[in-house]
Amino acid sequence: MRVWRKGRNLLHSVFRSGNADGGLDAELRFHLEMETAANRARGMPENEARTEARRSFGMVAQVAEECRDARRTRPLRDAIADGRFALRSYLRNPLGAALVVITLALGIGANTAVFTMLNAVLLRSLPVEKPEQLAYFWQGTPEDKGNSFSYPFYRQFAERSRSFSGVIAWDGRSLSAGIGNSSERAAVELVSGNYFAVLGVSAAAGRVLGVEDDRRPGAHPVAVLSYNYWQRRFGGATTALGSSIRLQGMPYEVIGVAEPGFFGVRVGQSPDLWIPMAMEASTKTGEGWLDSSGWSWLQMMGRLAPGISREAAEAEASTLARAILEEDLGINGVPATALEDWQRARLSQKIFLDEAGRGISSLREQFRTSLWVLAALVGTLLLIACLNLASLFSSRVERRRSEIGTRLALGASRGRIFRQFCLESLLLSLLGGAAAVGVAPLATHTLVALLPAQEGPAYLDLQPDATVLLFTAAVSLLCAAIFGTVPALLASRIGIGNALKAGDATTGRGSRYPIALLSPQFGLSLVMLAAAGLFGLTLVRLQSLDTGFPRESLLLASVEPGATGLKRDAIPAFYTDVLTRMGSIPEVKAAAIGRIRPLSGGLMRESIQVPGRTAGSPGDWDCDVQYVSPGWFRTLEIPLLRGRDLAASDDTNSTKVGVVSESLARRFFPDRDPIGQRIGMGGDANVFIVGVVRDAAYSDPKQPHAEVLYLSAIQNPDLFQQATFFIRHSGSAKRIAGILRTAVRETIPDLPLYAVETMNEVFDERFARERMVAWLAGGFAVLALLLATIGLYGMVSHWASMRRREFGIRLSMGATPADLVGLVARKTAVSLLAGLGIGLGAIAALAPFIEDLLYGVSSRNAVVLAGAALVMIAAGMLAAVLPAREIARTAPMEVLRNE
Amino acid sequence: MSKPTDLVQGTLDLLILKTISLEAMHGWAIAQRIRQMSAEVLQVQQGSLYPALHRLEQQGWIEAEWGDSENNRKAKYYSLTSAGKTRLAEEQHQWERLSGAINLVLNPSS
Repeated sequence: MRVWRKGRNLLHSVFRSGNADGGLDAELRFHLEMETAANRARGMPENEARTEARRSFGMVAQVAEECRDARRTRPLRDAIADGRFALRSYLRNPLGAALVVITLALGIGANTAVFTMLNAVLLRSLPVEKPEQLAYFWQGTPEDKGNSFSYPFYRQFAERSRSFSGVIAWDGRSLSAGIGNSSERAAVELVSGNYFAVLGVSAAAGRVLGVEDDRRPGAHPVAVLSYNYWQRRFGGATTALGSSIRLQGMPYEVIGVAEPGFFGVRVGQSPDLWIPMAMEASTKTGEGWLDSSGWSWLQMMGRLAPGISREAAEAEASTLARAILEEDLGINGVPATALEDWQRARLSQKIFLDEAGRGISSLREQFRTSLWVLAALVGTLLLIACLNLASLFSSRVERRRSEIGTRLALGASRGRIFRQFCLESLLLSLLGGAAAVGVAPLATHTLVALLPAQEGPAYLDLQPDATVLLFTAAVSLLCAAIFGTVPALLASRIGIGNALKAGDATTGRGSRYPIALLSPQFGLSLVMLAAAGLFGLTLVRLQSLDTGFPRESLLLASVEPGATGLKRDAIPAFYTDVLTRMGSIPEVKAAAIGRIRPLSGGLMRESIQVPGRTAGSPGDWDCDVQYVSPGWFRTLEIPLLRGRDLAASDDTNSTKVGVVSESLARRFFPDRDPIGQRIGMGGDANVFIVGVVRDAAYSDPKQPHAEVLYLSAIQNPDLFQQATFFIRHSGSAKRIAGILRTAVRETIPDLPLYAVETMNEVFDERFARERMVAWLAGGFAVLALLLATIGLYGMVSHWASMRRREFGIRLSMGATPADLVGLVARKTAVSLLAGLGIGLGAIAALAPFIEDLLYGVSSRNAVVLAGAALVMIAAGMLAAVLPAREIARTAPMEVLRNE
Repeated sequence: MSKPTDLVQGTLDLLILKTISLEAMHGWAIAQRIRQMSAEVLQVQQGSLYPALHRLEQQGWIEAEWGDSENNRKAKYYSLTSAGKTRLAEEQHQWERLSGAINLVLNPSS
């Protein structure tokens, strides 16, 4: 109670406008009147009564001050008075103040934007219950880990594991989702029945999936919508519940909507729908994978049981996994010596658990370094801006000398002056920070737009939360500290005599500070210029990568005829039909179909067996696999080196054939001609090699020597429920895309074309990260240099104009303008060299951290560094010499006359 | 008349608290009452009274309210808070202990 009363009193006495002291004046006046009346009653005449009352009271003003001090409001009152004063002076010069606030808003806003992204991708916990208990599963060896598991393994593990209170599994798929007459693709997640329960996620409407929805395969066509999807596609209508949505043609009932803010466990992606794992077979044509322990396609995550550490869980999981594998292979109890090599290798694999509290994210791995680099860049930019403001405000202190001198003479302490100037800076900084909160969302959205949409629509939870706001506040305060302290120090050190003197300021210690602030600004600009140069060069190198085939004028478009219920046997005819149509068009040079999109990151790997060769670990026999139609190599313009291409005559009735890349041939057949050799896939060696093609990049553009086995599309029709068309064309890609669309529609009316892009677009997408960093770094570097040079220009102008008199005297005594400019140039050169030193030092220290983002360029590239240094010094010298020349040209007489 | 005894701050607080424990008063009345009750021995330095009052208010022992005074002018009346009552009892107890102890030293009982 007492604390409350104290606080309330404090606030009352501070904020009661005008009378910020509880009516103190009135109270004292009352006392004096009572005393005067008492004196009158004692017989004193009026005047004497009054003066006697005053005398016995003491100095009223002093007592009043003591009362106010007793209320302990002095610092706060002073601060408010200073604040009011500052506001008034800003209102008198709104433009200047506005410029500062805008600069700060932009700088702090940019930093907040980057931090928001950092927070969303790297820092924030999943919006689930107790995220710190979650762990993500990997299996394999430390050097070679995979995150895919089979369904039987998952079931066994989930049932038998003791270290987890719950284990969930899921797989993400892109399916066609039809509502009413419209159909579009949706990101769907197949999840185990306990998914929502283990994560602790509830429903915003209806209910979420439970274990009872995952009992019998194929028997639970129910779906849960994500909150965003519900808003986007259903308009948030309650009629969505109970309605039907067709996934791959099969109707599912919408039973609920997940709570808002839940986006699954992958950061950067958000499924639109969740359906029970039991429905797996219905999502594709062909066999279901639920029963097969040979297909590893699920991801697993578990909630650690209370009291169990991740290490303990890992150990138990590895043991359990081994046991399950032994049972599966039927080798329990078999001594190790009797096992085959590959069995031994499989059994030695372990389970690894990653902490999953912040979600899993390939986005995180890709963007971790870039985001930190971005953060460093915007931070540096803001730092330069603050140093700039510090010089600006320092020179303003000069102009306010007489004001300060007057205050000192009236009894203000130096501490008070210091606090006043600090407060002025703080005010601007807080205004800037507040404005930044408005600016930041826009900047964040721009940044996110630059992210590649690789695995489906990018979704990041970018709502500003307390962390972000706290960050903004902290940055604002930091800014105020940086650009407010130096001017405040300067102001509080002004000697009274000096301050009240009229005329030019003498070259006191004050003028050293602004120059000292110059060097770091230019040094930091150098760092940013160098960074921009390195990232830019990286981008150039990446753009010019040789992928083994020309990327221009190559159109890609995907279809999924299997989703429309077309009969399996009719699908090959469909492809042939479309390809024939496209072939007849003059602009089309070649057309073919393939299963995997090169350079897009998608891939298929297989273990192959080469008869006559056995030694080595299992991984030695993995290679990339691509399925293509005849003519694909011609379309991609990958030259055939030996033998022949796949042909239409290689069909389901003839022997299986394949074409290999040079690198594969070199590795698996180093000493013989691969043509005619057999390769085995899946247990029987039945693929004959008929041709060798030149190396081309497969899924990673940076690796042009992929070891690829190309198999025939005609001989593997099951894999062509969906496929990509490749069209080498002349003329506009848009036109060809339109023609293709028509051709497809004429063959199968309802079949949509999706993922229509040119090969160049696919390629560019892969380097979206590097592009984003290069452009942003370039932009920031330009801004930084601009800030530093403008600051220098202003400072030299100001400095020189303060020394007009001195210059005038020198000129009249025989100095030439060139001498004066030389004077300025020398001072500037010293500063710039110091800046160079700072910059180079910083670059040396920071270089190792950006290696990850560079390609084909070392972080110590001398050309880039030299170039950056040159630009910086040139800009600096120009910024200094130009204004100096202006001033030096002033005629001496004119200057002296102004005195 | 002998010089009015200067009051140490702590004792001034005690006197103020005691004075207004009986009824709410404004500053001037408090000064008069102390003089009266002490038979004119204790003359409160008027300059120290008001800072003391404001300090006590800030600390929460007393609270103030504006009211009408005898001559129909607005005056600020101070009264004890419940915390203040406790404080008064404590302070009074302390004072009695202290003065009792000093008495013992000055007049050792025979």
